[in-house]
Amino acid sequence: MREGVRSLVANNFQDEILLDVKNLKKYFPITKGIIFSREIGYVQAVDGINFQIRQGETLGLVGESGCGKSTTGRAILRLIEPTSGEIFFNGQNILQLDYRQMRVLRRDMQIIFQDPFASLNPRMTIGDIIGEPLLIHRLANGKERKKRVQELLEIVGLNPEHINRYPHEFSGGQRQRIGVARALVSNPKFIVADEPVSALDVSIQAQVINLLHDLQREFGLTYLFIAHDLSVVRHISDRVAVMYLGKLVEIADSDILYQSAKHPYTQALFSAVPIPDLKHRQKRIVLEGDVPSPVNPPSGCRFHPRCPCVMTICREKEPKILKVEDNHYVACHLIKSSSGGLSRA
Amino acid sequence: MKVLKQSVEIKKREAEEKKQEVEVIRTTSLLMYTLKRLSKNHVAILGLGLIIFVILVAIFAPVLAPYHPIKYVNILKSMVPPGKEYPLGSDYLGRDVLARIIYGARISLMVGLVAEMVALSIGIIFGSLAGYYGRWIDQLLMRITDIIYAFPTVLFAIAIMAVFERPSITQLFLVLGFLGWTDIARLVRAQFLAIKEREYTEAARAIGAGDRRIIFRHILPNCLAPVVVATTVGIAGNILSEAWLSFLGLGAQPPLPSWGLMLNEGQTYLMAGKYWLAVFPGLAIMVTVLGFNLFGYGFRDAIDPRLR
Amino acid sequence: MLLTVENLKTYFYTEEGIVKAVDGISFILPPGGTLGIVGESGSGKSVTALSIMRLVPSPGRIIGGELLFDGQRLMEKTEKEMREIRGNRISMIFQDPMTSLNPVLTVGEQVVETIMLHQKLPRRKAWLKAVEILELVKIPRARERLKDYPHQFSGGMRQRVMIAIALACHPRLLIADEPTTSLDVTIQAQIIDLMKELKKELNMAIILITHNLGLVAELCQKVLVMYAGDLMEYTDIGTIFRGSKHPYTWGLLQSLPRLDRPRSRRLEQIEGQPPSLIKLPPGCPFHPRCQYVKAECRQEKPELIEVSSDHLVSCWLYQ
Repeated sequence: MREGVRSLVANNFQDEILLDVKNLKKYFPITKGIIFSREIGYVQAVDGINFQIRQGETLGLVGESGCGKSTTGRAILRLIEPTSGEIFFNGQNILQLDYRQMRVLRRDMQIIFQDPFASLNPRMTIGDIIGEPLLIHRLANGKERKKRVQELLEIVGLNPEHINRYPHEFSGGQRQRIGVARALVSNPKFIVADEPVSALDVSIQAQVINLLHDLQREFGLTYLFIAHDLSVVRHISDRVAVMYLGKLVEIADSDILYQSAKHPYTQALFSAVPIPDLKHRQKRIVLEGDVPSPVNPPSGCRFHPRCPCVMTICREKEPKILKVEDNHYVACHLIKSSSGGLSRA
Repeated sequence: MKVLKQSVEIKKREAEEKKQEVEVIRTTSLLMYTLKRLSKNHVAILGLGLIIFVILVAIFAPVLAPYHPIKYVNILKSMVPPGKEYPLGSDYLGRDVLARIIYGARISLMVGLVAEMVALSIGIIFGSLAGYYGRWIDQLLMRITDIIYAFPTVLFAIAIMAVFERPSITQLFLVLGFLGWTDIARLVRAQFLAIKEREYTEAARAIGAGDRRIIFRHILPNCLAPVVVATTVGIAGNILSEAWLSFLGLGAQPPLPSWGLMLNEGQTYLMAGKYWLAVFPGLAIMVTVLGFNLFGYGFRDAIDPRLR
Repeated sequence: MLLTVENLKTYFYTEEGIVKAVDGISFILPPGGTLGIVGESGSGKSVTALSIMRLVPSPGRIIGGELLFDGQRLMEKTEKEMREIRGNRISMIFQDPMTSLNPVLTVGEQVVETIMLHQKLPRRKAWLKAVEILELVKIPRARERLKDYPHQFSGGMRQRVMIAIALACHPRLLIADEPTTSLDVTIQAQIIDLMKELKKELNMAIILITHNLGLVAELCQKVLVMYAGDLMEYTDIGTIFRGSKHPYTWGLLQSLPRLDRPRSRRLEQIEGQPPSLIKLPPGCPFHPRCQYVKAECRQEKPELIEVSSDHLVSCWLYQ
């Protein structure tokens, strides 16, 4: 069985890049016809995004409904097959792996789901649910497996004696902890957390956020944290990427993004979050119109129909992602490139 | 480690809470939970009672029947109305109607259950493959299902009879089984389509589970509840079908005490006032079918997720 | 005083036991005022709203308390009288606009239905009024949009339609139960701004039910914090953020990640789980999770005490 504890990474990440996503695209075909269906269009859910995540880092991914963030998370794990692009995990392009190789890799890349009620099989005990990865990958058997599951129950803050209980006997927050335990049991290096606290009560959210944070420190985990709640994402992430309609519009360190966001959408997004305080009367940028559907995205810059700073070029040409300062990249025509040309995020 | 300290604190707190609790929490699986709800459902209990009654009658037939249903023939005592000697009367050959009804339970139950098992096996296979793999497999299997669904039972029974030359109960198993799986297939397919998209199925894929594991460990156990309902109702239907197929001469042959055959034999005498030859077998059919139906509907109510 | 709720108690009599969804809540609302009722799931905030409208579904019943609306006792009204109040003088909007709108009727028909029902106008006049209302909630091309079906609107637009239906008869009180929870944050900002404007224009009182303290800061003058059916704290908006007195309120405020504060390494979490409403612990419902718990907390429920003017708290720390 593999080592339980990895070396503590403290706050500085090894500069090793764990995940490198290049030009990831996922198009969902829209079909017509019952017996012989043909394609009449595409939902461009994810349309060419690039980013890297360093070992031990947490990258937050935010955006509103239809932006493609959940699709991105699942595509990285190949739970949804990407339409095109490259995904390098530990230097290896995982899109070239076959079914068997991918299966082995799944020990290293795990996911925590949003819905604590739907993500656990109601007919399995939590011991079976958490222990299943060990069974599938033949990592532990019988007594050893039970021991490991109980170990994990303790780590996530649950009573190990409850190993034979069923999911419906637990509260939402506890079920989410079970989901976390399941993701941890195979000693993964990388975890995609897809809205892990959105479905929880406010008083429980802090518990799970803290748990994820502590686990990261203890086991040296790398997270892709997908959420729509900006306050939560900013808190837990080292860097944050903002998506809009399948495209990455801005990516920067958490603090920098909040203080000096350059993309009009990011600015509007942050200003729209209501602050629980009276003194903080921020000037709100209210966007007109609705979030458009990804079936027929606008031409040029996808944000242009709602952008308060729209220019002619925005309607015609798609902006390239440019470096604004260290660790801060934006895709917007308002930015005159400071370092010239394309740069990697 | 801060994390471990935290979890120890939580354990301490939980231990305290446990002391304050009066009730002992017993763990309940969903099965036990369903059974508990079932026990509160009067309709289901009634149905179950009837089913158990009929099963016991069938099992203990030799003990219960006053006379042998086939061998005891007494022409002198034929067409005797219900009374002291023959509790439910005797038929045109002097055989005891009560004994024949008691033994007839064996035939009806056997046909009902065996045919349904055949249907269940075929139905589950078709439904799971169609629901899980989708696309052309789904289309193909569902079109086959549509054809079978529309196929006339009598025609198939006659065809089978032609193959086997003489009609018998075994043929009924085949006829009813091979034609009766369509409901279950559709049900299972619908469940698969729904559960396939649920997050815990996605979670299983994420941890590396293969198709076989996902189908058998994750999806099938969760789709069986409505299948149980369909099965009980299917058994009821098979019993009825046996009755009218035998009535038409396509199933059990004389001198077997099939309820359907008894109806056939008895119908000619109905007009002449010799009601007991047809009425009692008819009642027997009704009671049995009612039992299965009631239990099925009661079970369906008990598994209704509205309480979850 | 437009609305006075005194010691409202709504219990649900289920097979497994009595669920005390609301166990003694009191508050007042002046005309044009805004009250925020804050709580998590199971706190009883939605049931409070349904109780005011007398729409509590069985097996629930209002078993105690006084509801005074515009001088009238709502508890004494017949169902027929309540129907004249609902949608007319008190309106309610819900969390999910997709299921609250009838998918087989056009939006126009649903707005007009309310108008015709309460204002007894002929159809043509009602239709004109409907256009007015839709323009009021800033739906572009209102006249044409009236003929569209709910599924042809986006989430934010549907919520505006819900608001339009609720406001069609110019109610004096609007109860909004988590109106923006299912919406994107930029759309949420639009809806909140809309509600602020409408409140001013129509001089309408609003009760906003939410778990989001940020929204409460935007819209409300007074705040009521509920937990497991009980009232924990009741005060005005300034005090709740700067001078709250109840440990639960502190816990909530401290455990929220905040955009306006520097990132901390860890959030101050509230331990434990929300209680099961069937097996409530004796005494104060929050005591199992409270950092400041004392012996009294476990035995008896604290009284509601006025700790300063217009600031009521239910906690043994102040008795």
